[in-house]
Amino acid sequence: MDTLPIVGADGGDVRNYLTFILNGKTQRVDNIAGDMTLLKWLRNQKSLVGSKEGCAEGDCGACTVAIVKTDDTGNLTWRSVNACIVFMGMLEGCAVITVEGLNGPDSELHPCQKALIDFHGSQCGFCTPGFVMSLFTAWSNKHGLMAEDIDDTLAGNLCRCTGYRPIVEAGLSLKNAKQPQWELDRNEILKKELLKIKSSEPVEITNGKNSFSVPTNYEDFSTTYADQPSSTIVSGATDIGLWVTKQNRNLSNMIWTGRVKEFSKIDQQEDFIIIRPAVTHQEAMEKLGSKWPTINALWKRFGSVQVRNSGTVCGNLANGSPIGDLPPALIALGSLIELTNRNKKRKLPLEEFFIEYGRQDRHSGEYVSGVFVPNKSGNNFRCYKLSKRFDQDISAVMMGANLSVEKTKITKATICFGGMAGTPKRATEVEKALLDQPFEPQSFIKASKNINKDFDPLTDVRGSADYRRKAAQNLVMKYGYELTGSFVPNLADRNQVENLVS
Amino acid sequence: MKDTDGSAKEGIVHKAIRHDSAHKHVSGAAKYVDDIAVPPNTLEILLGQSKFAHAKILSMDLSQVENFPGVIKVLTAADIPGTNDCSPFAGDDPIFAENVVSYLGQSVFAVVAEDIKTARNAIELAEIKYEELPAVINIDQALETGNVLGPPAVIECGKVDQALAKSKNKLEGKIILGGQEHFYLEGQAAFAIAGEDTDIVVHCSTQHPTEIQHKVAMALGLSNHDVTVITRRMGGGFGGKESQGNLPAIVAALAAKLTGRPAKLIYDRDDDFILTGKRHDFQISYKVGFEDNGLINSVIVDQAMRCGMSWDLSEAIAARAMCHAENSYFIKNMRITSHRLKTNTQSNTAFRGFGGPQGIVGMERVIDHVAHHLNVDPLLVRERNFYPHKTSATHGITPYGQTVHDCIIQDIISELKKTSDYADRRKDIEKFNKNSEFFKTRDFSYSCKVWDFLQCKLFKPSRCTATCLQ
Repeated sequence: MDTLPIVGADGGDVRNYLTFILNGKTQRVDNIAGDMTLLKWLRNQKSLVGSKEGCAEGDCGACTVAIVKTDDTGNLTWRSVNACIVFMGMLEGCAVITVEGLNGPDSELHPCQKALIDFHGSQCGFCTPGFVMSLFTAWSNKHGLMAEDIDDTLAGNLCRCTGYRPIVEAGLSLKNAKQPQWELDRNEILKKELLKIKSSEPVEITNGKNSFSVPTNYEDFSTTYADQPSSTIVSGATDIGLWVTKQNRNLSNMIWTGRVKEFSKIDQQEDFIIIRPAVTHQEAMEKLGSKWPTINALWKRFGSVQVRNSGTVCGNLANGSPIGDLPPALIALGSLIELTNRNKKRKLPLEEFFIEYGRQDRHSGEYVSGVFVPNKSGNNFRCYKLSKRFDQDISAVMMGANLSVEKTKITKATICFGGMAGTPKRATEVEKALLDQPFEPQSFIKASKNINKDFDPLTDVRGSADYRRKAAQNLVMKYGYELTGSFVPNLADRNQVENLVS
Repeated sequence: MKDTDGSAKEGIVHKAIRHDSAHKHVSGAAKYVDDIAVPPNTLEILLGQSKFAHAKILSMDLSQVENFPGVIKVLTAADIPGTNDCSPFAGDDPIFAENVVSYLGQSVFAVVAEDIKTARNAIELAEIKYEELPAVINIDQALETGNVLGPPAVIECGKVDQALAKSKNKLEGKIILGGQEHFYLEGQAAFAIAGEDTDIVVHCSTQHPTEIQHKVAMALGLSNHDVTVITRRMGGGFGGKESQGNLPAIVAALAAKLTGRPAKLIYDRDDDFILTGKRHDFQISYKVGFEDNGLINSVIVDQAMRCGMSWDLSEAIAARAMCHAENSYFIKNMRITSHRLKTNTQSNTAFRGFGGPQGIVGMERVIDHVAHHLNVDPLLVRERNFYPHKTSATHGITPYGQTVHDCIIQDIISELKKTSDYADRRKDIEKFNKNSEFFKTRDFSYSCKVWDFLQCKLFKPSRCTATCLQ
């Protein structure tokens, strides 16, 4: 047995059981494998089989459940997540609500459930519990049920029979509906119950073979990981969950960032917005997206609500995917990455972190402890994503671009691509060709030719090498047209497309 | 519920009736196979899959798998008391491959274990030696090597070659149609419990419980009445659970029978993708002869379809593709040839439309090609060639010999043209595309579809010849 000794902040032992609330009832769970997923536990241990396994990789949404916490002001926050890739240890101190936990007294159905019935939103019914839970979470958060965001609310749920229209209509019908009194009462009770189980104790659960550590402060986390660099750091588990469910990998020790107090913050310094390891995509999106709408649009496409609610920015960088959508955008903004080993920290430009396919500049015992996004740049910052499916598909080509203009000349250009090489990579020859050129479309058209000098992309199922080169060139041109004021329709905007032909 | 003209109608057809399981769907109370509460001694099964598209099995050592703690039994072809076949009718789909594997991921053996995690760990210890054989994967390779399941099927009417030769305009072309995964949200699933005497009950997510009953009985060497198949509901099927549910049901039943314990086989999504057949992909080549006014005299169409490693339902799917190959158009002289190609891939199977969509798309392509050549609105070419209102001895008969009665496609289209403001909208689109530098807007056109004039078996030899179709 090879478990991690963790010493709590007070020097006491770690707690060896989890406490969380399931459909209103407090649970105490011990002696459980660290890699046990919530979905498996619900279905096998609790006989709650309403949540379905459709893919076991966080794509289809059939296992969607709501995770409820209280925020600093004591209000409830609701997140929909894919239970198939949530590890049990990640539930410490939370409330979980499954489709079985929605209805009111005398089995009265919840308004979200009723709406799906009334609008004929189910056919085979297998995806339906997931849709119910996505609608329910949006309903509880009091946003996400409007015409402009209902598609985003439901983008993480796949349906194959009904077609999405009746489901969307069911969602839209809920936007003005009132919460029944029994639901308001239930939420008040939930708030109190959550307070009761609130703690800052570190926890470690294990079945003797696979352990899952839940440290609560930064020192504990750093020490533990530095002592046991072979253990696996888990943040949102949107990737690591698949190591278990798909690759059957045996992860004997996992350490979770999610409850480390210092890790869940977005710090704001004068020059930087700092995203710490446990900050989810959703949280980062709300912060950065309000500043740069272009990255907001990108985020919606690369992760469903459920994935954004679980996955983290730092995790997305640490896993080093060559087509990860965030790195090109963050590199274009001039972001830095911070790595920590015990108490030793170093910072480097994000693009230098990616060395080659599958290899990052991360030493043994080091972890990604933050991303520093420059605060002040970026009026000309844009992201573009090309993929076969609009929502939640891996990019064929992804471009993040930023430039500075003084008077009428381009004085600085940062253009970074995903999907064009083994790592996210800057198009240095294109950048050079733009430098000191007049800020007009012709400069971009000329510079775009240099894509061929910068990249020698692969041919794979997402696109041929020729397609990728051509598409990358076109994106550079599009960027130029867009910045210099030509009208370039945004195909992602339904209204714009409809209005093109009136 | 309102009718299309906005008026409310009486009667059952116009009532919006909720799904009779809807309240169970939305509350998670609707039970699917994997949701059934199982006895605590239930075993879980994982299929051992081929690592090659085409190879000889030289040797198979599964002893380490068998000895793995928690593994109760390993099943191979030798364990099947009855027939090693899970095909719907042709007898060419082994439950477990023997001697030769015919596609990547084919079922070779099964691990029956206390739980699926144990099975997954154990299965990696299988030692199977293969000798790789040349594999035929795609349509081009199969055409080149003549790898077919049977000789080409042909439907012919009129004087095809003469009419083509005499036509003022001739074109030829090809369209490639990809396959498609069914992606029923619930994967293939079966749960079997052996009862008293020879009884066995199989809960199964299938579109075809009767066939499951027959195939389980055949494989286990039982009578049909020994086997009870229960299908409460499916989490989607779309044709993918017409024949593809046979394999998991048989293996679950076999495991239950041989171990005396309940046994469950649920395909993980990845396994489901790899193991099961898809929509048939097609290459449709054509030659067409036509006049300047768009009237089509003669069409020769070759439908090459990738059937995979066995017949499955491909014969009937081919027939339906052929019987939709002229679509809504009266083609006086037509030859339709179907090449049912054998490839080292999953055995392609039923999928919404069952070949019909592929046949129709082929003809729509011909029409568009003709219109493009003549530089006219494709709808003109469609209208020129529709099946006529009134049939005669020489007009309005399908290539396979059926008289088309009561054809109203002309009326439908003329009404749609009016109500959709067709002409003006097309003008707007043309104008926009001319003036827009970067962005060309979508086009606006009609496509027509004929559906199921006939059962494919009813050929009338008086007008056409059909060969090789059963």
